[in-house]
Amino acid sequence: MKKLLIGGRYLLLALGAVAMLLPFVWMVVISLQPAATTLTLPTFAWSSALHWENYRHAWRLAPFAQYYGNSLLVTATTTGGQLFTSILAAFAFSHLHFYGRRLLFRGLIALTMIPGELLLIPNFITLTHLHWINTYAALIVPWLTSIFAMFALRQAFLTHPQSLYYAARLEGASDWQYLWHVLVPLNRPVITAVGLLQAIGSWNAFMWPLIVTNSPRLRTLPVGLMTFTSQTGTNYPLLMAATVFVVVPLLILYLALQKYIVAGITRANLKG
Amino acid sequence: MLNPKPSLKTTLHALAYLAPLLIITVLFTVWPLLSAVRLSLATRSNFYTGRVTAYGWANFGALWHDPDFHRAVQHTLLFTLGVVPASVLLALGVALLLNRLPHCARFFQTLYFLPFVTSTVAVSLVWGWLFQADHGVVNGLIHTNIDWLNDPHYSLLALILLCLWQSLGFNILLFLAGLNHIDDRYLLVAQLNGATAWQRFWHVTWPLLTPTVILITVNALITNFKVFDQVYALFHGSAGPANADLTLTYYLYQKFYIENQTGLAAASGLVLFGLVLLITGLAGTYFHHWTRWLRKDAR
Amino acid sequence: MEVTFQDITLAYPHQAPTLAHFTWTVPDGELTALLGPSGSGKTTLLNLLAGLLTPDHGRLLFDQVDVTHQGMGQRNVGMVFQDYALYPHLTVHDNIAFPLKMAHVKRAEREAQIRQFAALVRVTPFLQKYPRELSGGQQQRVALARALIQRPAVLLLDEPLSNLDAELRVTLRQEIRRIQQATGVTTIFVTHNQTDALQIADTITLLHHGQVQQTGTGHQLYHTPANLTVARFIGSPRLTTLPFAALAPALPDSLAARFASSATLVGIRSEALLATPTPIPLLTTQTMRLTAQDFLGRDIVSHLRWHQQDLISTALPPLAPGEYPLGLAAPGCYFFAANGRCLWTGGTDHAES
Repeated sequence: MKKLLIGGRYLLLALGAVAMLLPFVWMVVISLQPAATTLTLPTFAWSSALHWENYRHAWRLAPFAQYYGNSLLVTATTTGGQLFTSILAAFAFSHLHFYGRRLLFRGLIALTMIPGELLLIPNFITLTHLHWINTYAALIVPWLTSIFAMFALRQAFLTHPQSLYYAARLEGASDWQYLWHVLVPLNRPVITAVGLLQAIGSWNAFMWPLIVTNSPRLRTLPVGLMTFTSQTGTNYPLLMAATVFVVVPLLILYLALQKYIVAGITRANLKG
Repeated sequence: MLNPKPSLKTTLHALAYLAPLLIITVLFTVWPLLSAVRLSLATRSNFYTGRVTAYGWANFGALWHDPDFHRAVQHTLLFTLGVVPASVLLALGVALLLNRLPHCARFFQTLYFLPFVTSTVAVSLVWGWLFQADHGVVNGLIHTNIDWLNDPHYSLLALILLCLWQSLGFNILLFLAGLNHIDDRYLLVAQLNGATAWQRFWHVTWPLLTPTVILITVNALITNFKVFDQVYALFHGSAGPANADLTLTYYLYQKFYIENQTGLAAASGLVLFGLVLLITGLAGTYFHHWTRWLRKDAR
Repeated sequence: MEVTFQDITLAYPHQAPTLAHFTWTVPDGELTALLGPSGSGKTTLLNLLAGLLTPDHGRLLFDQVDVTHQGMGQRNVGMVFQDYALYPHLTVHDNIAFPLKMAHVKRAEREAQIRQFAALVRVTPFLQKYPRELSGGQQQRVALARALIQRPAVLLLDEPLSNLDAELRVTLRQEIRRIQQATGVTTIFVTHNQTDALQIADTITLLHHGQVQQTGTGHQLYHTPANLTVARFIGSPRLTTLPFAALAPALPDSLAARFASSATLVGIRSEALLATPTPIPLLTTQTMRLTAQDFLGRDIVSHLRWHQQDLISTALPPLAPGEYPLGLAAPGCYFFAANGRCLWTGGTDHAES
């Protein structure tokens, strides 16, 4: 009876897993079909040759190298910036005493409730004033900080006994030295987790880059992929090949660093 | 807490650490928030300079009378109602199946979580293919002949299915974390007291899991109120057939970016903000009561 | 380095002052124990010394240099925390090196000093291990080395033995004593445990309610307590007290008459109640009822009843319950005034003068 129950659990989970995986499988399968053929589900042949050249064609049809470069640049700088500004602020909120600390912290947390979409309009206007539309600055600067990251890091910083901080201060370490020599190395897993989450968000961001850029030179991968659809029309094999470009780097990152990502999400959402 | 007395010196010192975050936050969150309120109240303004020449409630009045806005609110609510309860329940189910699974729990978790790390645009494009009328996999699997993406009766359902698929992994993860927080000893005691599996779930796990359920629900509600990327990618830069997938955020995008109606767009953004505040406020009240109740219990 | 607290007042918001006009001097080069129950203010004093707290009024002097407003990093105080506060991500070697690194000491010099201090506290074999791989006692030694390597003006030890088991406690007490004597650093050892204080310290200061009750050697605090608080806190089992009026009729007339108007309470140490006959001079011999005896290894605690008063003795042999003539020795018998001041200490009359 117990064995049957366990077997049932596995069966249900496997069914779900197939449903989760199916779109990814199709994505790859279609990307290897002959280009510009209309495909009907029961008839296309598994045995037909795999058309790897679709990837080459797709890569050539649009400046994907440029998109990759842009996405990498934007993701790396925004993630780095977010971590830097959040680490500093998280340290102040967890270790320093100053006027208005509690009020300021609550105020910042309250700001996280504002939907980013509402801020899109005035931010667009600000960037227009700064002549930043269609620049890397527009893609990067507004995202150089994250209150979520600050909050998650502050929670982590608060878990260390105060004696550690006092010991370091007594031993001649300044706040700055304590932060970078003790607190940051101690919290490397949390910082990695938070950084990965921010990187995923940044890599996949769509609406903001769509609005603040309109030249191919500045497009990030998701925007580039979207514009690619209008070029290929119903040429699904090419489109799916391009989709694979976009998806693969994060899938690899995820599979490699899964434990950090899982820990990061759990920490940021449940320990608040 | 030692040296609890802040002074001008400590405040300046702390400000040096806070400055980068504060400057960017003020510039790109606080100021835009005020500006959005101002724009929503502007009845005459220049799109490019943002200069306002007259104020009034006209934008909100226009929203009130705009059938497109009604449709957007209606679709957003319908969509959220379609995604959230199903996603929460399915995620809870999968999490319970995964919880304390002898083997492969990690493997399944990885699979279920894949959509979350994948670009929304990319998965939407893939689903666009799956939803095709003639040779789509979805029709093939359930033996129907529905034109999912071009029939206004089904296009919202297509969007719901896509978002459900995408959001499941994240919610499963949170449920698993919530389940892990529950002390095994409670279940052990219940078992010793002769409770059946169902009784243990209903009388021990469920009550202890309620805060997690609320948290996940609120989180899912807020995320889904703001759905945009999926709509844009699934319907190739339109709001679906006959605007059948026009959501609040899409409406905002359309008014602002396509029609240059800044005031209307800002006003619709504030309505969205209002919805989010309402939900968070309700959840906050619940949590306040719940923690107070817990503390009373601890005494 | 001599440490002086001068008229220090410190209050937390919305609370009675923790310290009011507090004055205390710690002698240079000695190991001073700061003894007191929890809430007596010893942690506050420690935090003031370390610079974690700043007093509202008064001055803190290190050898006549005013350090009251110096920051934590400036006053060169070494501290061993109750939880040791070792950096979990650094090896023992790097933990000990930390203060030198912060001071930008050159590598060769640093290594030499690390070797020297690791040898002093005897952790050389563990230098490449991480704190989590060490026992509590070993962690304690590492914390000591780390605090000492910056050659502190003052070394503070905050309840350093409280997380150790009984056997390690004894060993580490001796170790701390040895290391303190080897380095000659002015050391303040904060503890609520009188045995630790009695065994380790040159001088003990007993703190209660934010006031210094008495400063002296362990012998002085035990045998000539300044007041009732000291007499009650030092010594185990605790001092038995009874009204002076109850004992007065049994005392020699001259003694009873001398303190009749001033003394209100009598304190009796458990070793002052003896089986008779005894060669020790006695104040009086009374018939007391033995109600029970507890056998605690070497010690026997006898519960006695005399004129509706409960008394305790640890100087009796195993006996059956019953009435016995018992003697009260002068040493270990104290008279206290109504305000708690000690008036008479069994003939060793320091408190009288």
